[in-house]
Amino acid sequence: MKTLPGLLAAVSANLFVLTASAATVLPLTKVNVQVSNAYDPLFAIVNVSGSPALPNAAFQATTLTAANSIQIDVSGSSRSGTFTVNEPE
Amino acid sequence: MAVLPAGTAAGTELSISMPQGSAGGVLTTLCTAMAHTGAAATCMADIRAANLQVPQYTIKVVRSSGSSVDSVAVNWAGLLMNPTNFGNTFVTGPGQVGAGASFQLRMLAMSATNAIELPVSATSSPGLFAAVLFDGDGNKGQGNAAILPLAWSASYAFADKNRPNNVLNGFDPWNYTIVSPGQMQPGQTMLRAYFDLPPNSASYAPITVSLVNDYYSDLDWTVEHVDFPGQSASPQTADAPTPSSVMHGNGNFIIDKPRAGRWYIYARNTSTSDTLTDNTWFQLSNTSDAFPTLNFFANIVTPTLAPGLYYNAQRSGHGVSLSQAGGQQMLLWYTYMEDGTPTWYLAQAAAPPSNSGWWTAPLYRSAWNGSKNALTRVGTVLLTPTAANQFVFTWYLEDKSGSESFGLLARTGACPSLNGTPTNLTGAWYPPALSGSGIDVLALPEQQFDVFYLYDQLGIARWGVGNTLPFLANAAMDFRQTRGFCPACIYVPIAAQPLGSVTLVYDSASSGHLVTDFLLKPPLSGSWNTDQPMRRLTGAAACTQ
Repeated sequence: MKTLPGLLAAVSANLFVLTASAATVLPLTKVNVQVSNAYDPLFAIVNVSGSPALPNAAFQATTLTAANSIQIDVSGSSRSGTFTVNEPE
Repeated sequence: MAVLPAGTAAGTELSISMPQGSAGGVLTTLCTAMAHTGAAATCMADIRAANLQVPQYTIKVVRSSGSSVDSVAVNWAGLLMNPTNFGNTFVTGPGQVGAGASFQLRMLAMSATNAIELPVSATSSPGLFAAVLFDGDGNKGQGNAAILPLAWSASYAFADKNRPNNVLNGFDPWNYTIVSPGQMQPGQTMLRAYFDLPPNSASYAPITVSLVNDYYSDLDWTVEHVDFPGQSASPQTADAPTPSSVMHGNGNFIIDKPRAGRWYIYARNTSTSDTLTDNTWFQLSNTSDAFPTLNFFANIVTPTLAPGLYYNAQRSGHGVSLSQAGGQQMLLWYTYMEDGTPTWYLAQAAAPPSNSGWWTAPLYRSAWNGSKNALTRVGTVLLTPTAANQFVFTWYLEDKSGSESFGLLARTGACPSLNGTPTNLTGAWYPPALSGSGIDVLALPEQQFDVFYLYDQLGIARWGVGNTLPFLANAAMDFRQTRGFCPACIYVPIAAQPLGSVTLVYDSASSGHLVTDFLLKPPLSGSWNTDQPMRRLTGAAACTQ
């Protein structure tokens, strides 16, 4: 398993917030589709509102690198799980 | 990104954090979220900055005070915002959007196995994530950009094993040249898997259809030949005929002397209790290849297709233009969205040999960003000639597919007179300063019939149609905006309303001038007012009639 390049040893204080990126993050949108087998395409029309002005819109999907579900034990005060980010294939 | 699913106890806190510095121990919080009654809580950390990229992140949950639950479910995904590697997931939408405007994105993941692990079970992958990054001019993540996080989920519907599937349409990722009857319910029948063979002046090599991996022998199947379908008002691909006899389980069906026409692969799950597994499939083979696509039927002489406009007389209102230039063949498909508004698609690939009309090409949707267009792949087309200037138009568009029979809309090859000389003007013309828009011209002595390709206020591809009788080298034509039926939709008569005017002036067989004055009518909005020199993009030079 390879890790992302560019790992830095230090993290500056201003990174306690999400990031310095100007990108607008829209609310999570749920898409549910029905398929008849695992090789079917998934298709959905998603209504979007509240975006910034996109005078030269060009839409791209991102890479999905890992996906899972975990049960986190919280019998004590709190517990945590971890995940690893992979380099794109 | 991590999500507390709906139903998580209110007050439960969620966070993602990363180690601060190399010493470890101290964590930097990247995002936090809290569950409220009934609703999911999402914590998404944007880790595109290099100094936020570490081998491990920590998801932390703190239960609400007073809660006695022992564990909390968390769905999570790591997303790399890499627009060059998006795993056969396609996104199309407007080419330009104002701040706060509402619009639609069309999301397509070509295979559920790519986007979501199926089958879904109660214990794995109940909610997995993809996201869309959008921005202008390729400056991903900068300036006026936005990220739309999506939670894809899917369930088996066992509904449609009868999506039309032309096995020879081997254009990945829309088709894998195999037929998978996987997940057929007990008693379910597969009725619309087929391949079309055009008339051939010689003969086809034997074709073998094989059933592979039917470990449980629950499948009855056979191969049936029928004539090519005629023109029909129905968008449905006809069902396979009920076979008089069938084979059972693994085996080969050898077609010794393949005839022209449609060949169905019929199958039925005979089990009374078991659903078929995903591992069972049909494949074709011939002497050239184990998975023959159109490319493996080399040197087949078929009827040819002249340049011009083609349509299905039983579904009049949409159609395609076919033209060639520079060794390429271009197909423009004027049709409609699901809401009946007009839109168009472009297909282009190397032209077929001069003695064949059999052709396949990728299909693209175009979007206009205010000054130029961008093409996004949304499907594939396959033209199977059935006679001279007649063909079966097979299309795969996003998650839909189908086919219908097309013939010429009007005669072709006859030329109008330009400055006293018969001149072929039929083909695609465009204004170089506005490349991405243009006009399909059918110019005959007795008439000119044109389709204009433009964009609305959101930069979505639209079209209008106009004509004049007889042909004039300098003509002002009224154009109409039509409302119709989408490719997979039931036919409805088209409704037209005025769109505006086009003035076309031909200087020669390759140049002229174009003036447009268009105002799109509701539910569309926008205008397309231009005054430009135009050049011919495609079309033959000769007059053949």
